[in-house]
Amino acid sequence: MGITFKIDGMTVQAEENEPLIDVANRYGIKIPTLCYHNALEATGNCRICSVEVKHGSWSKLVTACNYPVWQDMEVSTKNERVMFSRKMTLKMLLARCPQVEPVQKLAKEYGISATEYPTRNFEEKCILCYMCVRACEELIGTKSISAINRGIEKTIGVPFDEASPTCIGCASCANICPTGAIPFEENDLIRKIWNKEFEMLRCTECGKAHITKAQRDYLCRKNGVKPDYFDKCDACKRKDLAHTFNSLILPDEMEIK
Amino acid sequence: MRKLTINPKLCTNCHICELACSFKQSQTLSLFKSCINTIHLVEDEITIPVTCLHCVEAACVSACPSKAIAKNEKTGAIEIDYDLCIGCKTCVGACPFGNILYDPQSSKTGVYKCNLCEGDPMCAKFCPTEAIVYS
Amino acid sequence: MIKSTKDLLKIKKKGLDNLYPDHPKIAVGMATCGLAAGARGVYDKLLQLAGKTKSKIEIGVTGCLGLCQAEPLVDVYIPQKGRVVYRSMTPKKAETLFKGVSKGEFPKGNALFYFTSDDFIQTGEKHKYPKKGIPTGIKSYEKYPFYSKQLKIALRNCGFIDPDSIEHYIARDGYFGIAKLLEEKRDPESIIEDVKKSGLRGRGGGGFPTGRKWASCRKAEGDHYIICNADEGDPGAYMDRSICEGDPHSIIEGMMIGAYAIGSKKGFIYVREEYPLAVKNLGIALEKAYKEGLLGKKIFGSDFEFDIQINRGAGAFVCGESTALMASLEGKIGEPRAKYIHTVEHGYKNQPSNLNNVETWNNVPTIMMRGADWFSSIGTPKSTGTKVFSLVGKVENSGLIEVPMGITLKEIVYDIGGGILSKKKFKSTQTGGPSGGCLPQDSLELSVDFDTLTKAGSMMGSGGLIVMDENTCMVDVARYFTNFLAEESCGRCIPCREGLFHMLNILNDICTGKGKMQHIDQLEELSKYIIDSSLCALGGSAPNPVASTLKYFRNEYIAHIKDKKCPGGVCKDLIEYSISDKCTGCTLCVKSCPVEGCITGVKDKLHSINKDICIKCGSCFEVCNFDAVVRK
Repeated sequence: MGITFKIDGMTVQAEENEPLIDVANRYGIKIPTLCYHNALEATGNCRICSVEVKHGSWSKLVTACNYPVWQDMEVSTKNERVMFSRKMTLKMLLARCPQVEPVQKLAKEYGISATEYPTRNFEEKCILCYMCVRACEELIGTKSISAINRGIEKTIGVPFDEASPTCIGCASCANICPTGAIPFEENDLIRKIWNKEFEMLRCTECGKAHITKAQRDYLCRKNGVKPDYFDKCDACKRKDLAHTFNSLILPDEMEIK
Repeated sequence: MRKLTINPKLCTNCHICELACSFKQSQTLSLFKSCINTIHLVEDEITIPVTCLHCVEAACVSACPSKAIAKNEKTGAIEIDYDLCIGCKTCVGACPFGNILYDPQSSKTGVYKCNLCEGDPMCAKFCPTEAIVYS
Repeated sequence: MIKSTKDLLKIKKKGLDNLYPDHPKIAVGMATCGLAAGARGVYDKLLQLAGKTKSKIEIGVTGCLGLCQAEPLVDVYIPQKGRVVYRSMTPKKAETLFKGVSKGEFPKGNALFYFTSDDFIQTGEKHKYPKKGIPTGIKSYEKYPFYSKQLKIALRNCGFIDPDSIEHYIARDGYFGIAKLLEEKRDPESIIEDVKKSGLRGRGGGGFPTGRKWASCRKAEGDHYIICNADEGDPGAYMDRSICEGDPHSIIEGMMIGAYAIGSKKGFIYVREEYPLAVKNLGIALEKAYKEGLLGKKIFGSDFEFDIQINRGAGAFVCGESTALMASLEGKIGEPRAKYIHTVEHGYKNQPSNLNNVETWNNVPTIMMRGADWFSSIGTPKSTGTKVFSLVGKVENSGLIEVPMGITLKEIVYDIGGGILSKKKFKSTQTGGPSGGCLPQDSLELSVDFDTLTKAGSMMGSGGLIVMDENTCMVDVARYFTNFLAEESCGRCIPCREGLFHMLNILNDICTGKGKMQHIDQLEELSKYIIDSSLCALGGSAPNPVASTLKYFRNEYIAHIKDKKCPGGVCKDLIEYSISDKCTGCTLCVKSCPVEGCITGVKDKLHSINKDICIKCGSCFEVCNFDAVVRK
């Protein structure tokens, strides 16, 4: 159902219940985000995308990432109320993670370079955006990490900080983390992440590694594929491709004239 | 729709395509960071440049859990949307031909592949013998 | 098996014979309040005595009558004579009581009040008691100050029945409500219209019109679920606990009516784990309801089928929030989610789910039996019916009360509560638990309902009502609630997690003499931010204790910061004890002081406190009979 409403005074068109941020992006209206990712379900953790929605005398701050749009609503993306909220969120974040670059960068955009609120742990990198948890649950499917504890003690981790029985060591969480808060080490022999050492799957030809054995086993189970599908690395697979092409190249005498 | 055509018989194994690709991808000159590789087969005295086949039914497209890999309608290339990619490397294993690369040091999510340089492939541009042609 | 009203009537008769037998019956209040006061010892002693005697005296168990501070309460029924309630019983006093009852007499000692009749609120009938041999000098229940202004609808059965007995529940017209609806094949939508007409609003604190919620849920497509929120988490509030412990079947019947009206086959009761007696009694009630065929398939011979299961919480206040509760029910982490999409459309397992509080469900059978018009005639036009409150704090009569909406705070505190304990000065009432606020003296004239208190900066909430006297530090109260909320915050969103952390730090600084004037600006800035930007209502209301105390008791904050003094005499770092010349040298303070050598003095001469080692425990202040110890 096509609807119209206003963003910052401009009339826009959308499908009813579309997320507000999708509509804003379509019209080139920039709303800052920190916990938003195109491949993940929007959860509204960081509140930085908060905008004001108004209708008559009713108004409310909502998170654009997951707010379903409706006919005739009036959205303000940068009025005083919104800017106050955004700046406070940035102050809170800067106090929490003063050395995290994406936070410093975004705060600077709003004129905040320092805050009077105290810092609990100067080394803190995690902004609790939950992208890692959501990726592991929604996309990988192993649900190996979760948010644990409550309140200010909230942190991301594996149950009891022990090697997780379900983690496959794919390191998607570390890759998707916007602040690099999830450390991992890897070489051709092992990848170490979340207090667990994963044996790397090494190419049967050249010994190069790219995924863990655990991830290989998981992918085979999930897709019904035989383990030998993953025996070779990308470079060695390309060599095989070259040999295949070679066997397809017709000798000159066979060219059709 | 333009097509990238490779004629191995014209390839001299000069590696310029690889260096051009590597530079375009990561601003380095490394044969290990190129999406096209020239593979020299000694016995048959031929070098075959191998790159992504931009399959009609791509294994990487169906394997990707975030649906980050799709066909670019304009260029015809199968490419990775980094707004969706989470770096899980399933595609690296899924491609039967090994045409998706993994480099933890690379920018973005660590995986990358040939995207026909957004419609202006460097390998074709730089190949001195027209073994690679984009037309 | 109970399959018809006829079956119910048979059991009703049995139940009434048991409620009003032809032999004396002594019921001990064994709700958590009673047990905490020592009721089990009283019960065991009475059982022991009854076992030894030849004449038949039945010993029973009952729920919370409401006057919790007088527990253990013991209820004595002597046929042809009447019913008298005794207070503050002990095993020893129980012996004396038993002796008297075996002689057919009501002993005088510890008699509190007598009943002239029992109200059967589901029908409006009364069971009148004779008035023979009632101890002199005690009032009737109806005239007893604590009870005279109360009207029990939700608490209709608490303290009047054995919670484990389904016969008692039916004797007092339980399950007749749902039976009538099913036997008459009442149109579910008309039931929802009745609930709308009654004006019933959510009793868990939100005050959302119940009928409207039911209508939205019924309209939504999918598998409908009914949920009872028994995760009562406000500190000091135990209204739902008493209903779960004392009258569990009322919740079951309410949920059945809701399920029938909305079109649901499955219900959950989510009880907090910290209410073991409530969990137990609800379990027993469910078991008995299933045994009698009141749950499961073909209820009252109709096509209506309904199953209820009990889920226990695990110690998270935030799981009282409806979306967090549903996540917890699904086995997920107990965190709220955005409510832009309502749970009545997409709730538990993304299906239409109707969640209501214990007290809300409990009111439903009465509305069905007495009618929407009767219910809406009680209370005020916008806040119909009654509300249960836990009246606690510095008040003479503390316990559980149920009053018509619209009654003033003053009536509650003074008429029902009996005024401030130890005749001290009133300072504030705190309502609404951690989401509510503190109101000052001149708010006593305000009427208690969903909207009036909210306009004043507090809220009625789920029913916690804490009375505070002059020796309360309002900054400390704000700090207490903020500390609670900071610990209970799920921690997902930045405003609540980080904001409350900072608010608590500031309040701790203020209470320990490290406050600065800019702290007040920071508290106001943080309050405004947390209220407006939080993801859920826990965060959205978390700054209320601070905001309301800053509004009405700002002078106390300033005293803490500028003068480094605590006007309430609570914050240890800001008070000091000294001995004035009223001292007679009786040495009682020295004996009570836990710090050796802190209070020195010669007998019969002025004593003095060493301020350097005094730990400010206040023992000397408490024991001095001459008001000689000064706290400043």
